[in-house]
Amino acid sequence: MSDLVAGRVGLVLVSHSRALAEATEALARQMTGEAVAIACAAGAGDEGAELGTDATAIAAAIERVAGAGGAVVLMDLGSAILSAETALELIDPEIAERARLVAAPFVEGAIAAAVRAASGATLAEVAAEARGALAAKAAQLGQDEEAPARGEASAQPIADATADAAIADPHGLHARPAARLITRAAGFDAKITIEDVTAGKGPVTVTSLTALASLGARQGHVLRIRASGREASAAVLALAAIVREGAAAPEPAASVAQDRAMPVSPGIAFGPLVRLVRATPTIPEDEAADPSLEAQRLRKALVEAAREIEVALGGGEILEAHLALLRDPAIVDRAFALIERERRNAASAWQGAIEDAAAVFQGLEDPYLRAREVDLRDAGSAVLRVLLGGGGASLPEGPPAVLVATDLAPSEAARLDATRVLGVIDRRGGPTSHAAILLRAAGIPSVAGAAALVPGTCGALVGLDGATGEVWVDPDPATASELERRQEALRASRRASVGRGGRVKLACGREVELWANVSGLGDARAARAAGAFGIGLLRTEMLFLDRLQAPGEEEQADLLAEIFAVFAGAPIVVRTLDAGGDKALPYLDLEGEANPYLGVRGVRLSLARPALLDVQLRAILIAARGHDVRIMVPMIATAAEIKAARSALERAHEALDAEGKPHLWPVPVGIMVEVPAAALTVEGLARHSDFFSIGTNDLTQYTLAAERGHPKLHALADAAHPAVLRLVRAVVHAGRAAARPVSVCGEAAADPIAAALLVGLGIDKLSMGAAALGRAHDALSRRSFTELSRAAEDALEADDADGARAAMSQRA
Amino acid sequence: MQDLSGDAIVAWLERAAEVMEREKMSLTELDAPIGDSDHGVNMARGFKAVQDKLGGIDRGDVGAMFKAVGMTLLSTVGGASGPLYGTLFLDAGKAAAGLAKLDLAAVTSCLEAGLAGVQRRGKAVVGDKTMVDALVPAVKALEAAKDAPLAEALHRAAEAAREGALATVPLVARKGRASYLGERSVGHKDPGATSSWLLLQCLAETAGA
Repeated sequence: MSDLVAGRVGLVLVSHSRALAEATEALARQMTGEAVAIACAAGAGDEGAELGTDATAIAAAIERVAGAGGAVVLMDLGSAILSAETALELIDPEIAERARLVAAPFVEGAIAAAVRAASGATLAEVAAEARGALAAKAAQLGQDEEAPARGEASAQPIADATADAAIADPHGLHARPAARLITRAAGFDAKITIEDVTAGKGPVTVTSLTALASLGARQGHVLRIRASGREASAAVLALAAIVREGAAAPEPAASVAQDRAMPVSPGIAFGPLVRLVRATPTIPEDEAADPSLEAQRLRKALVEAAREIEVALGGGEILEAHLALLRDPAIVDRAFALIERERRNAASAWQGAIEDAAAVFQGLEDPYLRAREVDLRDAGSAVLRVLLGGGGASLPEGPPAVLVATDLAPSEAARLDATRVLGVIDRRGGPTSHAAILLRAAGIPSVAGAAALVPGTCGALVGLDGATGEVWVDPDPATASELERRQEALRASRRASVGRGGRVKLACGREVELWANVSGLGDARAARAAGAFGIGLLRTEMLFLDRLQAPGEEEQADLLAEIFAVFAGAPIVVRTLDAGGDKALPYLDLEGEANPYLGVRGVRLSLARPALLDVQLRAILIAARGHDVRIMVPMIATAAEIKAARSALERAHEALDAEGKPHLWPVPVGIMVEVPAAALTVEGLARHSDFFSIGTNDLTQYTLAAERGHPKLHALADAAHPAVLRLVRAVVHAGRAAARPVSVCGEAAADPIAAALLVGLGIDKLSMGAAALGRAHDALSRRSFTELSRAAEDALEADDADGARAAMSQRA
Repeated sequence: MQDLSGDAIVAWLERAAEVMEREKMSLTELDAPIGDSDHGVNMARGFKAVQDKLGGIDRGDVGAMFKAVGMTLLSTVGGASGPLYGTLFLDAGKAAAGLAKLDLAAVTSCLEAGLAGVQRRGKAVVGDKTMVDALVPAVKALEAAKDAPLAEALHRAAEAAREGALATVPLVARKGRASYLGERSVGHKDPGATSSWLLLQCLAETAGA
């Protein structure tokens, strides 16, 4: 790379007119003489006498002037741009890498670029100089540089990089992927816009959730992502990848039957009907005496509300989407404008901005996107509660009951206590709402869209079947007792599922521990309620995502302590920050990577940012006092990495000792086995590690060289592949020889057949999402270890994942 | 005709060069109110250069022939049609690499690849009032006619391209020089869509001869 800076940047002038290009070259040479290589590629026909451009001539010009320093290509218009782009495809890719097509004014850009290049500046600097070349002229003429170019056709932003991607998600560009796009975009030094090419809508900037949602982009639509700025290329690649990803979890289809509600979360509930009571604060109408004071109040309320929502939702993409709403410039800027211009008070301005944004969602065609209005109002009311006081929604006191709500909000769903709420009937809503996702995760039976079946006022007893959408209001005694019986049977089976201390007993008597993967407080509660043995994987990323500053020690320790308290007395495995190229943290100023999964992530990032790791380790040790906490380090590939992480932990402990801060010590330290190199060297790693936990998602991705979530590589992204199973067996054997426990905390643990294969290979600790615990229990409880291990042996010999799965299912 | 041989490709391109020369003025007239009045002249110049090149060309590898055509168009057409038609032939050449003749499936993949190249280059979609408006329906017609005889399928593709070109009349141009005119581009047939139709019409006639 060093010779790339050493050589001077060359210049290629592409114009329809040979005369124009040559005259521009002469102007530039007045400034720089022969110090910079300049080549003209202009005109068409014989000797370039006609007006036009020639891609082959441009290719030759680039090859002539692009030395080690690269070349900046300036173009006039139309075919000049198309021909220049074509030229890049004709030349040696290594040279093309060093050529920048720059959207700069032709004459001003050429002179600015030549002068900068003569000073020995880098390619990026010369390109930036050319792009900014109009600023001086605009300043001289006293005109805003960014004045709109021309009338009706919308002016396209000048882009350094573009990418097109078709939306894979069946629900289109809805709030969660939109929030991911915004979060991801914030991590790059680039200005990014997206337009829906298929529908001809946009472009909109990737900072506003409502603006993105207003595109109404559906599955299959092609989105064009354009970026300008230093990290433009990495940004468009990363965003295109998100667009191409499918939905995180398939949502059940809505029922069409008229006499039923829409099934949302399976299970039977029957009991007294209670209605959700919402305290809606009255919005004061008084004018703001001091607008700057009101703006200040609103700013503080936004921060406070974000914290409140974070506690309520406890992590995950739904939280991300909510937080993105609170940062959405379309809403926030509007609110501040209302304070400033109309002197509205903070609450009234905020309410106004939310109403305006809600109107955008209401106008959308897609019912799924329209449902996001509920999220918007939920996030909005959190801010109003902070500003005006008053609690959120609450349930009347009393025995366990079936809750009836209208548009249950995600933060309300997250707060429901499964011991008091037998089931939920949403009079509106639908199976794809964020509340529905949370209800399913919590295992609370639920139906939606039941307004016609459950009128506003009547009813004392109500029943629902969350699998079919059936609803019974004040049923006759025979039906009531039947519902009661089915509800009790369901609850009994759920209790049984992980009832005996979080273990499942195989038919032969051998026991397998069922642990839970947890990303936040809500998850932890659901896992505890589901009877998990312990937390097998506590992801700490939720503490770090979606914020502009890294969290401090105290804040981290407080949040961790809340989660630890839920599993008091049970073992808890905390994973240190697993961020990196694929999970952007704005305050880390990470460089975009072409291959984020193979880049600086996991422990590599932690070791590269020792201050970040130190604060996290201190926070864990402080919060862990009095709990059975173990620390796990992700993405270990070599012994040196785990040794370095251990030393960091020792140092944190010594510093805490010196400061007299009480904390947990000693603490077991384990390795997440997700890199094939680690799986194959467990014997050596065992000298530095107290336990191993296999992360099947990444281990599969790295073993089969198939990116996670790649829409065309589903068949390869299967942990049941014999290659992955062989690595698992190697880890189990080496772990046993070294007397180190081995568990699995990847998604395979939640897949009944894959889980059976893992147990067959000797795994006796599985960790999975709380919702999967019951299914895993059922899948394993009737099997004997002999049978499972025989099937697993066959699976090791299979050709592929399908064959391995067949080996297991044939013995079922 | 069952397949398009190297000889048939040469016959097609010669016919195309004649037609471009013949239609030079009418294409330019189409371009006058909404562009820079050079489409016909540019296309005629480009295909004349292609014709000159055909004499010495190796007819055994259609992919190599398309590549040579693409490179020639890139360096001789001059206007935006140069990189667009150039890319069309270069990418079609990649799809036909090593083939001595093209059956219907191969012709279809060539045109699909060529269209993809044009869209990658020009970033236009159907409705932008460009050559894409003729090429997309043509590709769809070819894909739909996969069980038809080659000449019949190509005939349907040319018909679809003609209808696509006609359909550009009421559109507002969103790409290229014509987009500067905005609403004033309404009422004019797009010259690029028209030349795309002419090319496909020549191909259909060659296959049917």
